[in-house]
Order: sequence, then structure tokens, then C-alpha cells
Amino acid sequence: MNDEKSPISAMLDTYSNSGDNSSSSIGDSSSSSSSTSKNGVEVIITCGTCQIDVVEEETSFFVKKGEMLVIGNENVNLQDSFKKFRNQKLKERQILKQCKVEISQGKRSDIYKNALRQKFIDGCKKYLGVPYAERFKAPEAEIAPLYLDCCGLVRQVVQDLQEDFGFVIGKWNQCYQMDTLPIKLERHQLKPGDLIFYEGIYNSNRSKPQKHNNVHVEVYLGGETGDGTIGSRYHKGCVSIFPSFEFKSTTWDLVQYHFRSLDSWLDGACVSCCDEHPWLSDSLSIMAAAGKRSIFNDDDEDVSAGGLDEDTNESNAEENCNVPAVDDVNPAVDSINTDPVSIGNIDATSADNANVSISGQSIELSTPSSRLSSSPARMKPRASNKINASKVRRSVSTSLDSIDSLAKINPPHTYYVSKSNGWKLVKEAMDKRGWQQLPFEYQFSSRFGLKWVERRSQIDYRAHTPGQLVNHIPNNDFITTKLGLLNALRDTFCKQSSGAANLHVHAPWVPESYRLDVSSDVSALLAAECKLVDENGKGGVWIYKPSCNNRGRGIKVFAGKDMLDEICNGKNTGNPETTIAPLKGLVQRYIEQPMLIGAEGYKFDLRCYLLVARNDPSYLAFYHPGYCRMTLKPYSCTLDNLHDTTIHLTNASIQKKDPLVSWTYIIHHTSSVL
Amino acid sequence: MAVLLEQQGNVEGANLLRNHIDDQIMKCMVDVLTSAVSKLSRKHGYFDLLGFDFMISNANEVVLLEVNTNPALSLDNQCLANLLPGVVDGALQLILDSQGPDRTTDGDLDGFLSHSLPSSYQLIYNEAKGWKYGN
Repeated sequence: MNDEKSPISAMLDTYSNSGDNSSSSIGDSSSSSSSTSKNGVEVIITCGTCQIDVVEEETSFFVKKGEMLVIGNENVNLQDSFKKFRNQKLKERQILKQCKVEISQGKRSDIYKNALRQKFIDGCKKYLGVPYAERFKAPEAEIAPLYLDCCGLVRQVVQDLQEDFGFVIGKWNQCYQMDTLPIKLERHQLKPGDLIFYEGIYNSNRSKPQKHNNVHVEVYLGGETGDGTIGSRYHKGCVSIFPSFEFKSTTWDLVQYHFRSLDSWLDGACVSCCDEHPWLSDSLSIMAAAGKRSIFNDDDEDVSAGGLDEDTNESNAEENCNVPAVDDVNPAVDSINTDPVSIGNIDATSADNANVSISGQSIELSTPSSRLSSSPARMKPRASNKINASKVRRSVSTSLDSIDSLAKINPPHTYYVSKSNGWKLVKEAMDKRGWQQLPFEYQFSSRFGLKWVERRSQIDYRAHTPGQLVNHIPNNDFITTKLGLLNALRDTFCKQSSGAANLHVHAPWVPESYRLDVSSDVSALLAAECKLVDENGKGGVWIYKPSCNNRGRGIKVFAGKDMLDEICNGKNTGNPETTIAPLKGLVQRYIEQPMLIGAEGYKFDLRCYLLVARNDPSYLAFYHPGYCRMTLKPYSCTLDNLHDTTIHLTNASIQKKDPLVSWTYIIHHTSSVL
Repeated sequence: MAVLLEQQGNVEGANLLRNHIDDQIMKCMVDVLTSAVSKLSRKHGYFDLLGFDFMISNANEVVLLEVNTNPALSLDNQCLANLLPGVVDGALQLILDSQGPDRTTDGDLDGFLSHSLPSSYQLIYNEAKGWKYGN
């Protein structure tokens, strides 16, 4: 310890130097992950003892909140006390390490399970305040909209802790969750962390009943009242702590509660113990069907180990699968045709000591569509063998090792890409730079070096640590929505003007625009139209654009004061059926005479790219040329054809629908290239 | 596209394209960035590949239509198959290169910017140097 430092900072030094800054993976000093701590360590000294008030999540096995650390009295040397403390903690970590060893041998100690139970509870609390669904999101919320309904909360936390639990939880809802927790409890047996499931009947007969009428789930906390829970209720609107698990729902009537112990999951088992619903994923059945030639079928394994049925080859294959249990594929998607996800060098060891090495090979995995919402579970009927839960449980618990191996790969060089929009291009680019792709099931994991997804809602910005590369900027709607863009430009470029003059951004690339949700804009728009009528007798042609749609949806090109009036003010016919509400979005002056290309004169637009490579500590942005999208029909602008989107709009999705399919793109190059 | 225009005998148009349109586009992007800089969340690790849609009026002026947060990257035809891999690959190259080893500084920006940039990327905004295209 450095003598110049205060005792407190010296203690903190010892603290952080005596162990690795390890991840949530317990006691494993070889883990190379280096996520930074989310909380600092605050220390309050009272009367010669040191109370740990805030604990780093990662070191919560090292030191507990509220723990009293004796710094020493006048008789004991400060440094010796710290040494003693340190040694004691090191010993505890040894114990935890031993637990880890036991896990790989199929057993888990109580210490481990209790610690994991606590982690589960703490993990739930991390999400307090997260809205239940989109309508509950505060409009000014800067973070990406992460929504958690009742089963979503449970699923999210288990996924966050998947290395500790040792399995990848399925994406199905509370029905699945209850089916995988077979240990039934009486009310008085509930311990914090256990789950309470609610059997209920929906009020509305438009709601499809759940399996076992399982409509809700919460996590028992106990707390002061003894009945407290943490959960996400529709009515409350966000993840909260409730004084009692008992409540009146607005959407269903309670039949009874089901109390289930968390212990099954704490033991590393998450398999269905329900005879009716096996909840198996497609990938397992694919592997089952693959037979002898499959790399998942290990010929060396002793067939009788674990009491396999000899008449079913399929059971053999399932036993041997040494990959994490995967989520079910959206049944609408072709689940057989899979794209290989290469997992690199993984040495997976099954509990039965069969070694399957998958180094360098591609593994065919069926991949889920990335979805955050919890839909009612889809039952996949299994034609053949009845699943013996204990057999499958063994194979699932061996998946810990392969997850372990993935975790050991240096997270800074792992990447996740969602299986959509251009993912293969991303994969190609990252793979060739030596980065490791995470399986598609890892969509909730916040441990990655880079994440490339379509929507901001697929990123958990709350868990983001500096340096993790994520596509996108969380509040990019300041420029990616039409209203946001207009406002941003106005704010920056119209500062000197005031009043009505504030409307027009004085740069040639922003057309004359009016916000329909601001009355002064609407007045200005109507005034502008009047002025045009005075000038040319027929007024202008305008284009209405909803603020946040894409692909040309909702866009209207129109002319005439009546239409304009209807769009701005709506049309109240007195009859609710035909009354039209005023539209929200913006109206711009339509460019009636654009540049045309081609002999017959086609309208086109130009798609270019802006890459914001970084914005902290400073912005760095690049331009890349793109391509032109042409319409299929030659351009003309008459009052009659304004509605014809195939003439006026160049979005690919609109042009694609035209029966003349051979539309052309032309690459637009910069001058240097040509 | 400039080639196409030339083929049509529109040499003037081709030159216009080369010199004028790109210039306007880049200036427009700079404007958008300028207006966004104070509003967008800043954090080490955030990046974005945005699609900008423009029209060209017959007065040869570029008009910004919208900015897309999730530009289409599917290879629907040969043109796109030639263009898009470079866009994505180049983007990731620039993103990775621009991360300094120390999160609080800019890393060796001068170093990597002095090399030729991947694909057809052009630097238009470098806040660290107080440089923007068009200024």
C-alpha cells in the first residue's frame, strides 16, 4: 500500500488489486472479461470500522453491502487488519471457486445457490422503472425503450445471469416459466427470489387463454409486509416493488396462486416438467434427426449411462448436444434452413465425459427471430418420443461449459448482429477482422464488443458500458424523424430570426416545411397557399409526410385548398364514421419539377450514407455515395395523378410493387472515382 | 450516374453531378450534424450508419427528404451488390480505427485519417480539429 494515500484509498487499492475485476462469473480468475463496475465503492468510516455501503455488482461475492470492516483500533496495525480482511476474502473466493468445480461435476453448493438467488433478486431490481409497454414510456426518456412485461422481467434477469445459471432461458412466457419450475411451495415456504404464478381467466373473451390459464408472474421479495414482490403489472405501467403479491387485475380474474421454488433454476435446470408441453426448441429436434453423422452425436458415449432408451436413436442425439439450449424459432419462419454460426474453438465437455470438439467447424443452429415481446407460447407438437425430463436436464446442464467457453473469449472482440437487414455484410466484415460472432440467441446479452441491430429498442442502453460499440445512438430520432430533423435544423439555423420567419431554414436543401402540430406553422401554411393562389390562380402542390413512418407509408401528394384544409384541420362531418382527424406530421412544398433522368424522364432520388463513426469525446463523421432509385413510370405532375405513388414516390418498397419489375438502380459515384 | 448522363449527351449534367451535387450533399450533412451535435447523446461506443435521401430539383439543387436510421442493406440487384459490401465493410473499418485505446481521447485520429479511407468514404466532420467540410 502506498503510504502517501489516505487509509481509505489504500484500502480501496488493496480491494481492487487483490482480485481480478471479474465478471458475474463467480470466482473464476481466468475469465478475461473486463466489464467496468457499475457502481463505485463508497466507504463510510464510523468509529474505527468501515462500513461498505455500495458494492460493485461484480464483487458482490467478495464483499456484501452493509458489511462491517474492522480497520483497527489503536493496538492493531492498519495494514495487518487489511491483510486479514483480504485473506479472509480470498478464502471465500476459494470456496466459490470450489463451487464452480462442483457445478461442472453436476452439483451445486448451497453457498452458490444462495448467492445466485440474491443475484437474481438484485438483477430484478436493476429494472425498476422500466415501462411495461410502449404506451408507458415517458416521451422524454433518453434511453432506448426497453419494455418488460411480467414474464419479460423474469426472462431478462435470467438471461443477464445466464452464465451463473448455466442455461439459456427460452423465450416463451410465464407458462413456460412455470412448467420449468416443478417444485411447488406452500405460501409460508416462499423465500425471496421464488416465483409466484397467477392462474386467472381473462375478462375479455378476445384474449386467447393461456396454457394452464397462467396469466401473470411476479418475484417474491417478502420485505416488510412479508408479502412483497417485484414485478411488472399492466396497470401500474412499469417494473415496481409491490407491498403485496395480491392485487386486483383489470384484465383477468384470479383463480389461484401457484408458488414455485427458484431452486430448479438455481440447480442449473430449466426444462419442462409438464407432460403436456415439452417446450423444446427446433434445434434440438434437428439435432435429433441428424443421426449418426451429426457432430452432435458422439459415438463414444456409453449408451447406458443415464438410462437411455435403446429403441430411440433420437434420445441419443439429444443427450449429446453440447450447445446451449436455444430459443424456439418463429414457426412462421423456415426453421430447417439455417445459416451456420461458427463458434470457433470450443471444447465442450459433457457430464458423461464424452469430448466433442467443435473447433473450426460451423455448427448449424436454427436461429430465432429477435423479438423482445412475450407472445403467448406456441406449442410445437413432438410427434415421436415422450421426453424424459431428467435425461434432457442432464444435457442442458452440460451446456454450461460451452457457454463458459464463449464467455472466456475476450468480450471486446465478440460481436452480436441481429439476423436481419444486411447482417451477412456485417458478419463478413467482422469475421475477416478476427472477431467472434455471438450466437443469435444472445440478443439480450449486454456482454459484447460490438452490437449491430436494426432498432434502438434492441439495445439495452442502461447496461451499456463505455467502449462497447453499438449501432445506434439512442436518441437519434432528433434527426431521423422528419419533425425532429426539421426542429433541429430550425433551432440551429433560425436563431437570429423570430416569429414567423423562424419557420424557414435558410439553406437550399431544406424545402419549405410546416409542422402540423404547431398552430403558428399551420397558419403560415394556409397563408402561403393563399399567396400562391393569388400569384398563379391555382395554388401550390404539397406533400404531406407523417413524422416517423418509412418506406413511403402515409405520404400524400395533394393540391387544392380543400385538401389542405382537411389535412390541417380535419373534416368534421358530424358523423363519427366519416369524420377525419387532422393529421400529424409535416407538409412541405412539393417539388413539381425535379431533375429527371433517362430518355423518357423518370423521377429519382439519391440515397447516400452518413457514418457517425464516433461522437465521444468528439464527433467523427464520413460521407459515402450511394445510389439512385428511379420510378418505373415516366414523370409528370398533373392534378389527376397526384395520388399515383408509382409516379411520385421513389421508395423501393413502392416501386417494387409495380408490375413492371425491372427497376434500375444506378450507382452514384463521387467525382474522384469517376 | 454521371456516366449515364454523359451517354445521353448530357455532358454538362455529368460535370454538374461531379462537382456540385456531392458538394451540396456533404454540406447538407454537415448542417444536419451541426444541428444534432448538441442534442445527440454522446458516449464512447455509439455509432450510426444513416441513410440520407435527397432529390434534385430542376434548378440543380439538392433537397433533403429524410434521414433513415436503418438504411436498407439487402443486395437486391447487381448495383447494390457492388456498392453495399463496401459501405458496411468500410464503415466498420472506420468505426474500429477511430476508437482510441484510451477512451477519453481520440486516439491516433491523425494517423489513420492520413491514410486513404476505405471504399469511397470521405471525412466531412472532425470535431477534434474543429474541421467541417465546406468551411
